[in-house]
Amino acid sequence: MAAAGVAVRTWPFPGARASGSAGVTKGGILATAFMFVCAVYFLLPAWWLVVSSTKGPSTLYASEGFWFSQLHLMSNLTGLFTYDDGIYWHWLINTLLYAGAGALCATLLASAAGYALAKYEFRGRQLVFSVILGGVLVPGTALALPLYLLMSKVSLTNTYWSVFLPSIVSPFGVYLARVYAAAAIPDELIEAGRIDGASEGKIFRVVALRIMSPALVTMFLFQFVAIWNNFFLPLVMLSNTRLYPVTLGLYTWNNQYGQAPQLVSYVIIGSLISVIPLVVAFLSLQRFWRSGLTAGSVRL
Amino acid sequence: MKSSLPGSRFRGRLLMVMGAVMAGALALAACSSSSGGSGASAPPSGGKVTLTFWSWVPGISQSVSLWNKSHPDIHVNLNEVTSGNAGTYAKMFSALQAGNAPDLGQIEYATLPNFEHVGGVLNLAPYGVNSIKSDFVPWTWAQVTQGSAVYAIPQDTGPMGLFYRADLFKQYGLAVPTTWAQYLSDAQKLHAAHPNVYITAFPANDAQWFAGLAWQAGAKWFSTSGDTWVTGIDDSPSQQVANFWQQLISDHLVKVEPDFASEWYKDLSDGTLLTWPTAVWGENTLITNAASTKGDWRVAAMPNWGSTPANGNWGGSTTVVFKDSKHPAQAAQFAEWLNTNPQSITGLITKGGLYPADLAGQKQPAANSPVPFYGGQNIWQVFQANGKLVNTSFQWGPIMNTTFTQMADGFGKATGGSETLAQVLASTQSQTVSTMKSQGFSVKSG
Amino acid sequence: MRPRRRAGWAPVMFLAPFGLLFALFFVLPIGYAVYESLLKVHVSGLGLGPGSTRTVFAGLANYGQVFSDSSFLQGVSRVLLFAVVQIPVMLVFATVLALLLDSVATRFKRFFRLAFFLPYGIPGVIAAILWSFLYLPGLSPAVAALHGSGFGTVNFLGTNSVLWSIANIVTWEYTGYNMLIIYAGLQAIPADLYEAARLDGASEWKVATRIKLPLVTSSLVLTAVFSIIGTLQLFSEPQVLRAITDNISSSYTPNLLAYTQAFTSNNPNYAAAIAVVLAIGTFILSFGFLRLVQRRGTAA
Repeated sequence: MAAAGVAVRTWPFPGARASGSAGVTKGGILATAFMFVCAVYFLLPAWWLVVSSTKGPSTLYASEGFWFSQLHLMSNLTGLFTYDDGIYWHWLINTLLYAGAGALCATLLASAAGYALAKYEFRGRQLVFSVILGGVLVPGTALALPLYLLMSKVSLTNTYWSVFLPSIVSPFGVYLARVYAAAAIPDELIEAGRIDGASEGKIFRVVALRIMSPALVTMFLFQFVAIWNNFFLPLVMLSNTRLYPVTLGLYTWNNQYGQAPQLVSYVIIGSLISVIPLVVAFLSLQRFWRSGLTAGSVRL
Repeated sequence: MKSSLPGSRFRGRLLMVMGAVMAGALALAACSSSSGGSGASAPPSGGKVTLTFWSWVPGISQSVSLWNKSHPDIHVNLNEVTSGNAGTYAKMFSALQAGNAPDLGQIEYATLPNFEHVGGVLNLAPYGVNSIKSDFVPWTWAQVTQGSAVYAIPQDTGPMGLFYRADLFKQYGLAVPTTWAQYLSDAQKLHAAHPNVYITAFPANDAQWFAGLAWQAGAKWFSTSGDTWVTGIDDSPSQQVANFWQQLISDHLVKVEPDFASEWYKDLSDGTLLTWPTAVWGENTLITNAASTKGDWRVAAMPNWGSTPANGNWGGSTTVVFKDSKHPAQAAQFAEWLNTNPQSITGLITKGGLYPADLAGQKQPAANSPVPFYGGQNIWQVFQANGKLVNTSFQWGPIMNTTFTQMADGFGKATGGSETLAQVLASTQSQTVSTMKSQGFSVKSG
Repeated sequence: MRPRRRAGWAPVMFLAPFGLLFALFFVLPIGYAVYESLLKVHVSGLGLGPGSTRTVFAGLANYGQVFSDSSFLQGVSRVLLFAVVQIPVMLVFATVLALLLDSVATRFKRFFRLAFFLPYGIPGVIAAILWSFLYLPGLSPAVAALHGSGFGTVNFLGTNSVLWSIANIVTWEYTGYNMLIIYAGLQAIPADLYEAARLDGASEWKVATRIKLPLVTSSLVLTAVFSIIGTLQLFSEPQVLRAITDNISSSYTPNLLAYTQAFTSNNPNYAAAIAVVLAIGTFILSFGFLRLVQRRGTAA
């Protein structure tokens, strides 16, 4: 695959380019104004979510949508966490398991595979890489149905494993790892390690993983979001509500208003709470996310 | 080429966290797989049997607790699931495919043949259920039997009636309709004076509601002649109903929106919709979701087509024992008890809003007394009288789910204006026939 | 400089965990889907009761059915129409935002970056639930606001408008993410290229179009490929919106059709055929797009 011409020089140099002097020009004011309008578009539903989370079911329909009314925040919160024997707690923990543990395992497996593909010569290396890359292009939802049929043959459906195991396979992670490892890990370092008598595994742990950390964070975040977002797989695999991730749980509540009208408020405040971990993860790992993305966008 | 990160600390921590999380994941997974989620029952230890039961009837836990207290050796675990058409049937089918379906489940009459078709429900005749046959409304027993096999115990019925806003009818000067012609003229009068208020909603997504209306008109969608299915979804009674509602839609006399959705509940609460032709269990839906309109609604008999009164049935469920159950005899025993025991039935009526299929149950005070929400009207009398008028020869086909889906999709398109409801019936008929043929059924149009 | 080849089993050890799971959860399901798609259920008698059905080999009958199924073909054309309109609009929007963010004229960059990226942190199902509240005529403050400012009653859920309402949700969700990828590509361009151009008197606009855009082509390609794959698998957003409108049929997108066939109509074999066709189609389209872009890239 041909490089896009911007080769190795794209390595993350924090602050590589100064933003230049922010002079106040007419173009500048227009640009900033346009950006503000766009920001309103992107933030408005989130704002609505925050405002609506403080409203009870009756005031939700009756009050002005974009501003607060009677505050029912505490009753919404207590209701949310006690409904159906505190099933929302289960959903949050499940999601952390599926997405957090899943992304961790995925990152480890993919980084090992990517490192091997980048740093070792062996027969069939390019073929293996192409097959794995093919996996990036296959739609996940097309896999979920046959996966369900397969798992039902071994009675694994409706268990944690049925969602966890498929989630720790990340072909895109392997791609990212390989690209990064190929460019960032100097062969001399590996040789030096070998001369010192270190085992291949030790070299990987001590040398490679350390250097690859920005890519590792990117792979982790990417897979974390992918698993968190994955709706079709748990929808197909799970029928025990105690095993649901929070997205599937809220979707189920969204279809049950007839049986319990107060669920409207719980869906809304449940949605708000469920996105907080993601936002926190992004904000705190921003630095690595950006530099890792640069690496991934280089070659295709 | 050094990274500015404290790399070794990161790496070490990463591995530690990973290890801890994996251990946790394994432990949790082990716990869940041994308890089996909602799988089949555990083996008896010292004679105690545990059964799992999936149901969406509100408050059925009361009946289940009653059983558990009086039958300590057979313990029933209730899973309160969402309604069948909102996803539970899909779960049941997939659990059956995976071999880990629960012992007992709630299945509506219309979907029962579907489950019989996939071989998912057990024949209960060997467990002596025929002894309670005469306890039930005759057509309900007919719908749960195939030849000498009995595949379910009837739970409730859904005779239809007209719920209407008595206060708004008075306010707008409308007469309570006794025929569909009167219903139409009421709708026209209402719309002319108040364009933002509608006589009712047309839920294009709810093919089962439409089936109840066609049932009232005398439609015969499915019947069998030997080993051949005879399908008549677009027969003339059905077309009559379709053309009637098509006129209401084309003249904007009804609001096209899905039922059992937030907007629809809101419309029922704020007077946008004046009537709801529905089954007896709808009384609970209004109480739960239109609480602010307490005292405003009343119930009348369904409007009629001609001079001979007739009625249709919408919904109504049964209790089945699934094929994977390890304790079918005990499960059959519970199913019988649930639907015939007087205290159980009282709970089903008062908490679940059901109208029992059990004949003795229908005579209980709970199903014969005034209801405060309906201004003290004894609504049950309407349904008891009209329940007798339900056409008993209506039958369901073997792949109703597919037929309902095709019909709902078609109705959705029709309300957009691209075709009429009658055309949808015709295309559903031909689609059902061809789907059944491609699955190997012997079928002909009739 | 090539690393000296060591004992051949080291790369195998690194690749094995990932490889095994990849084979189990990517390759095997595809194979199983193909297998299932060649079977059919045959009915005897009335088809009720146990033992009245059996599974037989059906060859390519299911595939014939797929390609003559009008609801499948309509779903495909709908999804293709969606892709042809929504993906370019979203990518243009993302590029414009990235360029504006990158230019010297804009202020408050960190705020805008966060604001635009926030929707990506909200899982697709939650976003669809959120927007479903904002689309409902009786409940939405947005509809009320539009009505109040003279646009009349906008019906977001009409027969023809619901597809674009779904497009709006998808655009809202992913523009920020795509913008970040492009922005990362922009950040990696060395500053001296600009200095030279500016010294020559080039305007911001010229700098943007002549220098920046060509150099972020690889990022754009990456975002386009992911968008294509995602769009062809469209499922969560239409599925959530089904609860509030009659205008989304059970076969609105090919994925919805597969799901309905598998779980409502009990045709796992037919559903498997749809999944296989969908997977192959997605693969061909995304791979074809990549090849097309690369050929143009090397030719230029």
